[in-house]
Amino acid sequence: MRLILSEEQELLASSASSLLQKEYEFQAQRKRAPSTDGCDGRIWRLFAQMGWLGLPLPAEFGGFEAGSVGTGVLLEAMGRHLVVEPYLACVVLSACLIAEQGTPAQRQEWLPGIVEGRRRVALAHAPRSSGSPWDIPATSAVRLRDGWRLEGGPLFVEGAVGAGGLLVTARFSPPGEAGGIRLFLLDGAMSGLRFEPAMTADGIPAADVTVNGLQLKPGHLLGTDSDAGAVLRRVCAQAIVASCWEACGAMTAAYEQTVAYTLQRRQFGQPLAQFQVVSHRLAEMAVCCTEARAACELASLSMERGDAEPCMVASTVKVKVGRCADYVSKEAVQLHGAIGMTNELPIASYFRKLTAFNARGGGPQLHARSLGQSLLASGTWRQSRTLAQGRTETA
Amino acid sequence: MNLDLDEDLAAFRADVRAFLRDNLDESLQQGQLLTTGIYPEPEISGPWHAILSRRGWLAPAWPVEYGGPGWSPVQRFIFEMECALAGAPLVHPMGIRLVAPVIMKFGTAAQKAQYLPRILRGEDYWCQGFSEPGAGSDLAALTTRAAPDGDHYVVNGSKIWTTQAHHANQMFALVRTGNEGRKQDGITFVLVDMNLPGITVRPIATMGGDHDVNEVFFDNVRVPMSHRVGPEGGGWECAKYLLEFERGAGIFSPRLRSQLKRVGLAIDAMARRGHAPSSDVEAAFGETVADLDTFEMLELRTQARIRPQQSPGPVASVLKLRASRLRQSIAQLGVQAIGAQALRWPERRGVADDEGLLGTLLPDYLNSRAYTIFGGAAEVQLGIIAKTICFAGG
Repeated sequence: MRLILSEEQELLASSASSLLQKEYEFQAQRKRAPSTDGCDGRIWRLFAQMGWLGLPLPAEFGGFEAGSVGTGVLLEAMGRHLVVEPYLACVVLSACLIAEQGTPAQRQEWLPGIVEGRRRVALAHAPRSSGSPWDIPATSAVRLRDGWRLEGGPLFVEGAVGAGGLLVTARFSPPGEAGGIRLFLLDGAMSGLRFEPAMTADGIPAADVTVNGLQLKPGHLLGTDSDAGAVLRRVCAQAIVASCWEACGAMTAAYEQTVAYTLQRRQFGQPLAQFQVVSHRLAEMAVCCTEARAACELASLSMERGDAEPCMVASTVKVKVGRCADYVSKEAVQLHGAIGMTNELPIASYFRKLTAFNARGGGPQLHARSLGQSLLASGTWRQSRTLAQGRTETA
Repeated sequence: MNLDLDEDLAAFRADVRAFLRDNLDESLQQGQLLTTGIYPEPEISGPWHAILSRRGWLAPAWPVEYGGPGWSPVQRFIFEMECALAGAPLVHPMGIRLVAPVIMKFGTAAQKAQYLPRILRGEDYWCQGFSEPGAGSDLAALTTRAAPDGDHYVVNGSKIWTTQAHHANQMFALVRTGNEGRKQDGITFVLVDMNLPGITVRPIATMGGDHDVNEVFFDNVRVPMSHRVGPEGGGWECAKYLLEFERGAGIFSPRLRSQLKRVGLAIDAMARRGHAPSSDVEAAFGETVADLDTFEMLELRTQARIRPQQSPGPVASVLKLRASRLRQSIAQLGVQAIGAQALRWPERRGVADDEGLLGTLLPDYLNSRAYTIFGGAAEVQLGIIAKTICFAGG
């Protein structure tokens, strides 16, 4: 049992923070013209040089197999420094889906290019019901004699513009047969694909992508012609865990900046921090940051061990970190007063980042209901969570 | 980073489970399950203390030189968790965990020889005489007077909120021996035999209907000076050490988990009556388990990073604050889960059937409101967190 980061992980954290502090210095970042592309090409190449684009990927393609903790450590630094590149969408989701579901030929064709930063793959996925992140995809796929046809409304895709590839999830429900979920990997410049540029609440370039009516060849299918539901849910769960680490980084930075601000801002003859109400709120924020980090560690360790249901692990950490993010982001703005509302300080950006976090992949309330139902059905909560050593363990 | 139990820890856990299987009988489990007060009654905990004591496991956090088993903090965590999950009675902490470390650190050789073996054998039942009507969070404002008379102190005054003083034969108390200088400098730590003439214990009725706390009156009680721990006027140091040690050595998640299990049993009982959990109960359940799993990780991670008897530092206040609030949310989840059943005031208590089990949840919820008040109120903990964590840079 070892509950501190390894030397390697510590090194990753510090080198990430060093680089991102330089590249994402806040006032310089504000002045940077927004990229018309789905990401900043120069920064994406820097990420490639640092090995980050292959961080969670298999070593045979140039990746580092860093696992959920290693990936989380990087995301935490990205959250702290308000990175607006579509790393979660293109690496943690798309690249990992290719790694898990792709045929050996598909993996060989796409992954080395992704790791080297030559190609970027965006993910076009939305659950059919906004009430559950684990629901089947909104897009549907119809099997044709010589391929597939996609049907469905536009999808909001992070990092879409300029992406070399587009990964689309679809539900496949042939009459009288077991169907399931299929994943399709398309060329980003495929004719028939339409992109309307957009942006996420936390400043990541995105687009509304229309796939309706697209005719696909059999080669577009990612992996074999069988249900990809379990893989999709597991990778989405891993991405939720990674996004919680990012939120930890953001909320901790917001908290630290709020402590610093209240210590120097004077009103009524003293620093704001000396008012007990203010110091108690800062204490509550500190507790949230501490707990959020522990929740992320537990979730990542569970994912790495593979001994708990991935969707439940993801829902658990989202329920916890989501509520912490909500509290810290609000208090950070509140304790700054009016200036906390302006774009001049990072606080507003942290508020947008943490708001986007809760909107991405389902918010804490939604996950609480889903988690509660699963827990009551499973009974695993009757045992210790940290000392459990296997899925089949009983007292 | 990993949560794996190595061979030694896995073997240790197997030993503990075997011990529980062989020694924890159903009547003790039922007794603990139906307990709604803060501690089980002595007739429940007493037999369990004796069993643990014979095995040498009654004082897992004591140093080896005083009879402790020499476990690492992680082993302690595992032991406490297995006991709680098996439904073992809660060990009464006043002697083992609160006064014993003070005697070890500040006591004379004679005091150690007189008191520690009896505590280790579970022969004394202790209560804590700290708070007074005029001194709660502001404990240093206490006024119970100890006036020197030959080789005795004559004690006059009163203590309040004294948990299970009606069962105790010993009390550790803070008394005032001086009024010069800072109020803290006039406080002295004494050990009081509850059978001394002049001591009166009066029950206080609290909202859950359990008899937990009391007022204790001292009318010219003669306490031997040889029962003073540390120097006269050194009581505040002892008290700070006790509170810091208790906060640091506390392992809360096992009992939080067993409390949640009780709520789970109540949900099962409701299902047997044809009531499935509503969606708001499902959502509250999800939130509470997410909180408890996180807390457990934070606590285990803290224990894994310290040596035995080492204080974990400022995070101890975070753990104490969160444990008390989590205790309350679990209790509230309980009344939420039983719906309209929570409207019934349970007259019949302590009976081991569905109705008896369901009847524990309302009193437990009412009693749980005290958890953010005693042992350092939440507002005090927040102030400590602000000082030691938020403003630690200077």
